[in-house]
Amino acid sequence: MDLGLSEIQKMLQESSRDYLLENCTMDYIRAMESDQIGISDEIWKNMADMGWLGLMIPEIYGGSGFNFDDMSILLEEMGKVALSGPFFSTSVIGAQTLLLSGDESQKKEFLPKIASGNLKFSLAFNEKTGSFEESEVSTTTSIKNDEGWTLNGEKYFVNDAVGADYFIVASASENNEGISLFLVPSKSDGIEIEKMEAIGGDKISKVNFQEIKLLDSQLLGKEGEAWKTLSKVFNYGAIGKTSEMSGAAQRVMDMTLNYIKDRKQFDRPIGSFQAVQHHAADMAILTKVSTQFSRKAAWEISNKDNSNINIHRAKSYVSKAFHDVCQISHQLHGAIGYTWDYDLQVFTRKMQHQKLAYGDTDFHQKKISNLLNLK
Amino acid sequence: MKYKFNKEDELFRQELRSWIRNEIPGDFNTWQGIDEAGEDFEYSLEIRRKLAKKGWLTMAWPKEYGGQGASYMKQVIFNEEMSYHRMPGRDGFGAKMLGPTLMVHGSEEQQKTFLPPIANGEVQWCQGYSEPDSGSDLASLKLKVVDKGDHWLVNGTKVWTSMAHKASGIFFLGRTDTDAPKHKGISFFLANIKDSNIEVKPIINMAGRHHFNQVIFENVKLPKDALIGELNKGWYIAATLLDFERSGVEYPATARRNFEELVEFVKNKKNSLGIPLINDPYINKTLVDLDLEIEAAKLVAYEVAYLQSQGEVPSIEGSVAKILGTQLAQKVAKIGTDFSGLFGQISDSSAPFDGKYLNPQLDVTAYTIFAGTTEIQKNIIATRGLGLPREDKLKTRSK
Repeated sequence: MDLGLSEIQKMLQESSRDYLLENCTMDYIRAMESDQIGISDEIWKNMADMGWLGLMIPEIYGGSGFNFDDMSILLEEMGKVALSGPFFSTSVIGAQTLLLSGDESQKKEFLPKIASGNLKFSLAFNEKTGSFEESEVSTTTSIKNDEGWTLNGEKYFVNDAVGADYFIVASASENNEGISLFLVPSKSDGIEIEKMEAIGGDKISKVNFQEIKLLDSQLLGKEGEAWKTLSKVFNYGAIGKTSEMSGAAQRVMDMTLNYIKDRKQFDRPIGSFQAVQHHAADMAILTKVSTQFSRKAAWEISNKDNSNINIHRAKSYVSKAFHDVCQISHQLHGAIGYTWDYDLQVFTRKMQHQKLAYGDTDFHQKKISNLLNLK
Repeated sequence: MKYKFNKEDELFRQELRSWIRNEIPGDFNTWQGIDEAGEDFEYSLEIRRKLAKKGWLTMAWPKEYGGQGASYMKQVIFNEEMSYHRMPGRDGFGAKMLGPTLMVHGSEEQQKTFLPPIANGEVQWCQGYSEPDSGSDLASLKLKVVDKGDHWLVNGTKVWTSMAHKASGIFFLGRTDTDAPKHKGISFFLANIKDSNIEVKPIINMAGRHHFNQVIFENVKLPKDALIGELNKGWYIAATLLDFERSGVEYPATARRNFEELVEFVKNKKNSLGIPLINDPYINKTLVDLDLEIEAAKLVAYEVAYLQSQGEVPSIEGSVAKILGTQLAQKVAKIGTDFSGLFGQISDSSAPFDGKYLNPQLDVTAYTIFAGTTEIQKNIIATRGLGLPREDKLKTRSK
C-alpha cells in the first residue's frame, strides 16, 4: 500500500500546478466560457509541448506513455483551476477510444496528431435520453451499402463539438445488434451543430448527422462491438471527472478557509465560531474521502482492470460529495459567494457538468447494486 | 501510488483468517460474537492468550520488547480481520495503549514489571480519564494525587471506566499541581484496582449492559513508582497514547460483516405480497448508500495507517476516521432494525437475527461520544487541521 505519489507524479503535479495557476487564471476561465472552442491556441500548443495532450498515448504513437493514474493527477490540477474544454474530449475520451478500438493504421494516423495538438476529437454518443447505457444509441443508424455506410441521426450532449476536427459517432447497425463507432470528419457535408446552453460554460451541442457517406476505413473497431470499448471509455470519463472534482473540492475548500479566516463579524473571524468550524470540518471530510475514492479508482483502472465496483463507488460518491462541498462553501461565504463577480460560483456551475458526465450518482449506484448482486 | 496490500501482508491475512475460522465456536455464518465485558470475559482472555502465543497480540511492539515490529499495514489487516470476524481477545487498553506508553515513558523497572503480563495476555487494564465533571474538557480533571514523601495519596472519582469490573489494573490521570495551568498539573499513574480503598461501582448502560463503571479512590496509597514519566507531564503522556486509539479500521470492517448479513436477510425476507425486500428500491438504495459509507470509512482508515507508516502523525485523518466510523456503526444498527419491520422493537429470538440489531442500536449511541465526541473531533479538524482560530484562545472582547 502506497497512497503517496510517485516521483513522476509529483513532478507532473508540481509542474502542472505552476503552469495552470499562471496561465489559466479565473479571468481566462471566465473568458473561455464565451469562447466557441473553450481553449486558446496558445494554451493548446503549450499543452502539446508539455506532453499533456498525448499523456496517455504510448510513445510509439508519439505520446508520453503515462498511465491513467498519472493523468488523474493532472486532471486534479485542472479541476483546481476550473479548466474545462477540449482537453478532456480529445486527450482522455478521444485518445482512449482510438487506443482501445482503432486498428494499427488508424492509431498511427491519428494518435500522433492528438499528441502534437493538430487534431481535436469529440465523441458523439448520447441521444435524447441522456443515459450511458448501450441502449442509448437507437435512433442514430449506420446502414451498410456497396460503397461503405450511410450514417443518419441526431446526437445530444456532444462535448466540444465546435472545435472538433473529428467526431467519433456511435450508431446502431441496421439489424440493431450492437453499436458501431465511426470516425467522421467534422467538415463533412450533412453535419449540423447546434449549441446547447450549458450552465457551466461547457461546450455542449446537438449534432445532426444527415446522410453521411462513410468508407469502411472509417469504421473504428468491429461492427456492432463498440460497447466493449465505450463501457471502458466511460469509466475513464467517470474517473477523469472525479479527479477534476476532487481537485476542485480542494480549491473550493481553500477559498472558503481563506474567507472565513478573514471575514469578521461580532469582532472576530467567523471561522472561530464552532458552527462555522463544523461546516468546514465536514467539507474537509468530504474532500479527503473524495480524493481517496478517486485516486484508488484511477489506480485500479491503470493497474487492475477497467471495470470494477470501485469506479462506480468513486463516481457516485464524489459527484454527491462535491455538490455538498459547493453548497457548504456558499453557506459559509454568505451573500458574496452568491455574486457573479466572486469566483466560487464558477466552480459551482461547472460542477453541474462534472457530476452528471459519464453517469451521475444514481446511475453508478445502480451499477454498484448490480455488482453487489443486490437482487 | 499503489492501492493494494503487498504479497506478504496478504499471506498474513490468509493465515490469520484461517486461524480465526478455526477458533470460532460453531459456524462462522451464524457466529454473532460475544460480550467481552460481560459473561464471556474469561473466554476472551483465553483467546487473548492464544493471540499472545501466536505473537499477534503485541505484533505492533518493537522487537526489543518482544513484539514483531509489525508494519502499520499488517496491524490494519489484523484489526480488520478480527473485527470482521467478530473475534474477541484484542487488548485495547493494555497492549495498544499502556504498553507503548510504558515503552516511551516508563522506567526500566516499570517496563520489566508491567510489560510481560500484557504481552502474555494475562491481564486486563482499564483507563481512568473521565470524571463526573470532566468529559470533553478532560484537562479540567480534579482527582487529587498528593506527594506524601514516601507514597502518593489519591482521592477522587473516575467515571465511564470501561472494563474496570474485569480489570486488575488501572492507568489514570490525576491532578498533582492545583496551581499550574490545567494541562500542566496532571500526572500519569498506575494502580492495582483491587486495592481495598478503591471502589468499583457498576453503571448499567441504556442497553442494559454492564460495560462501564464509576471508580472511587478514597485515601488510596500508591508507591512512588506508580508515577509514569515525569511529574505534571501526564497530559502529554496521555496524548501520545490517544493517537494509538484512532486508526478506526474496526468500524468499517465490522460494518462490512453486518452489511453482508443484512443483504442475506433482505434477500430471503419477503413482504406481505411475497416480494423479497431486496427488490424494494428504497431498501436497495439504502444498502448501496451504506456500501459507500463503509468504503469511505475504510479508505480513511487505510490512509491513517499509511501516514503512520510514513512516520507522520495523522491527527486530522484520525478524527475523520473516528467520525465516519462511528456514524457508520450507528447507521448500520438503525438500518438493521428498520429492515425488521415491527420486529424492530423485539429483542427476543423471534426477531430477525435474534433481535441482535436492537441492543447494538442502543450500544452504538455511545460511539459518537466516547474517545472524543464527534463535535470535539470536528473542532480538532477545524483548528489543528484547517488552521481555524480556536474559540477558547480568542481574546475576550472589551465591553
